[in-house]
This record gives sequence, structure tokens and C-alpha cells, in this order.
Amino acid sequence: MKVSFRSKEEDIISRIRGGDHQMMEKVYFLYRNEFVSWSKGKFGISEDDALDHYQDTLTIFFEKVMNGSVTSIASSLKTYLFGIGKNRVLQQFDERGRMDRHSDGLAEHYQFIAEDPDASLFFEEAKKQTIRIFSAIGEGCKEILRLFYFEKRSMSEIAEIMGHKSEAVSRTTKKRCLEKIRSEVKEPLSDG
Amino acid sequence: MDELKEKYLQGKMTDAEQKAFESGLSGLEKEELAGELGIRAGLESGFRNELRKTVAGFEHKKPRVRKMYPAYISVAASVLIAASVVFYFTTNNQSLFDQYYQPYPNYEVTTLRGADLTSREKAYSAYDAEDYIGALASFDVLETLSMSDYFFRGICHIQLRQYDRALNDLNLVASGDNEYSPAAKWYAALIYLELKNEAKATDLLKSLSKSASAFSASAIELLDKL
Repeated sequence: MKVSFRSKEEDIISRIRGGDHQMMEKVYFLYRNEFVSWSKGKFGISEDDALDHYQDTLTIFFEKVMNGSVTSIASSLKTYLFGIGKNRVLQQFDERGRMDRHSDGLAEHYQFIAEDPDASLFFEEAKKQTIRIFSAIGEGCKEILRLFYFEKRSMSEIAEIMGHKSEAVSRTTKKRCLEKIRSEVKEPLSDG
Repeated sequence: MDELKEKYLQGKMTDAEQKAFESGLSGLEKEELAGELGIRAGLESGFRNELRKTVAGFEHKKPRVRKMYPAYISVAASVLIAASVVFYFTTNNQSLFDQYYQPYPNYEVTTLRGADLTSREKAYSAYDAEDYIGALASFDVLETLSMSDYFFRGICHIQLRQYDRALNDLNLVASGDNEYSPAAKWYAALIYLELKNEAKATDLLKSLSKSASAFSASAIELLDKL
């Protein structure tokens, strides 16, 4: 039986995609010290900044695995993570780009938001309001919305994970949860 | 329209479809869609912040000494720090081997418990549990061993004081250019010291002292003691 390093990385990805926090923690410590020393030496940044960038890097990696946009890695995991990390550090010199910079991908995908000042205003306001009420979203709703919007799961997967009888139940639940958020976000928008 | 709108919001349209869809939107529809996208962006942002907090939380759960960081430099550094601590707090009656040696932590393979483990997983699981005999039994049934397998099998042999077998594995790893080469040289040097073969230990330590590995400083320190 031949066991390669590739199978190790595929195993890591599959477990993180399955929500294995123990594996996430293990990956965190896998390159933590090396990354911190490397980025301090290479970019002359402080230990705190280096650690901050490492945590950003891991968050990006975990998110990509969770939403299925990374299912395998052509290089080694270390090369991949250091690549993301290097870009994070370089952005620091550009401007202090925090994690939210990453989420602007949505706005980039929909060009009209950037091009139309009114649309841009609605987008930013709705986003801001949603972030404001995020912590008040009930756990059940949060879970289904996380599975759909963050992990990009299909309705059949969601039904299985949530233990719903059918996809239709999941779809209705998701719709109801989104409606609730919409109703809380709608008011400030119409006021504006 | 609702179906099209949902397809659009989920980003599932082709570029051409998206362009056509957007060109047909009124100002009011654009504002509505922008608000909808803003909610989704806000949710993504909220979930991302939660994930970021989870990641930051790992920092407060630093692994115990036996499970130190696996990247060879950081692990090596940890091994060496621990060895230095041992050195300062023990008497000079201990051999250099005892002063500097401690088993290398496994982060090569995530270990699990269960009946469906492969032999390789069983080997590393046993290694984590400090069952070095069990680990060797599982390593030995592998048809093909990677350099990391040879390395950790070598450490198992050291734990069982089977130094000749340990040297067979570690010298094989040390002779190549791989992630574990410097660590393998370090452990082989410690074994040679234990076997009173100072010449071979010195050769390996000199090689390490000139390298850019995490073992270079300790190799220099150890050479000073010879």
C-alpha cells in the first residue's frame, strides 16, 4: 500500500469540509511558528502582526475549503498557505486590508454595484445592517444560512445535515430566516 | 423572473447571461438586488468573523509539549528549547544524549481512534500514544514507506533503545534532501554520542552547524561540549 503526502492533504481538506475543528486546530499549529518567524524575518513585521496575518491566512484557507472552492492543492499545503500569507502581508504595505476586504469579492462580481452610486449605497447599507443584527440571528437560522451562503451547500446536503425530512423543508426554513433578516434590514433602507 | 433573479443572486449565470440580465434591470430593481446582495455580503462577513474568532481561539489552546508544532523548524526549535531546559535543570551526570534527546512530536498524520484505520494511521496513532512497539508493528507492514515514515520509525527504535535499527532509518532520511533530513541528522548524531562514536557524531553536527536548519545553533553548542 502506497501512502503519499497527497493523500494526507486530501484527508485534511475533506475533514475540514466536514467541520472537523480538531483538524483545523491541528493545521493551525502545523505551520504557525514557522510562518511567524519567516514573515518577521522576510518582511520585518512585528510578532503580533505576523500572528495576525497567519490567522487571516488560515481563515481564508478554511473558508475556501468549507465553501468547496478548494478541494485539492496542487502544491504542498505549506507552499499554499505561505502563498496566501505572503499576499496578506504585502497587502498590509498597500493599505491595512482586514478580513472584510476578502468579502468584497461579491461586490466585484456584480459590477453594477460599483458603477451605480445608488446601488452601491443600498449594498453597503444592507451589508452594514446585516452585520449589526448578525449576533441576534437565532442559532437554527444561523446554521442553515451558514450552510447555504457560507459553505455553499446544496439544499439536499442541507436537508441531510439539518435532519430535515425533505429539501422543501430546508428551502422553506431558509426562506423564512432570510425574510426575517430582510424585514429588519428593509426599514433603514427605505428610510434612506 | 424569481428563478432568474435567484440564479443571478447565486452567481450561477454565465458572463453573457449576467450582462443581459443586468442590462434589463430598472433603477429600482438594481437597488433591490443591491440590497439583497448586501444582506448576503453581511451574512458572509458575519460567518467569516466567527470563523476568524475560532481561528484566533486556537492560539489559546497551544498543544502540550508532546504534541508540538510539526513544521520541522518550529518542532526542532521546540525540541531544542525543551532540551536546553532539561540541560539547565539536570546534573552533569547525565549523558549528552539524555540531556538533549526527546522524541519528535508527530504532526505528520492526524491520529484517530477506531477500527477502520489504515496501517499508517495506526502507526502514527500508536506513536502519539507512546506505544512505540505498536507503532513499529504497524510501520513494518507498510508496503512503501515515505521519508517521514522512516523518520518516525527511527524515533520508535530510539525509544526502544534499538540504536542500530534507528540509525538505519535515520541515516537513510539524513542522506536525502527532504523535510526531515536535518532532524534525522540531529537524532543520528545523538545516537552516535550515546554509542561513543564521537567521530561520526561530530561529522553530523558539523554538517548541521553549517546548515540553515533550526538545529544549527544547538549543533554548535553540542560541538562545544565534545
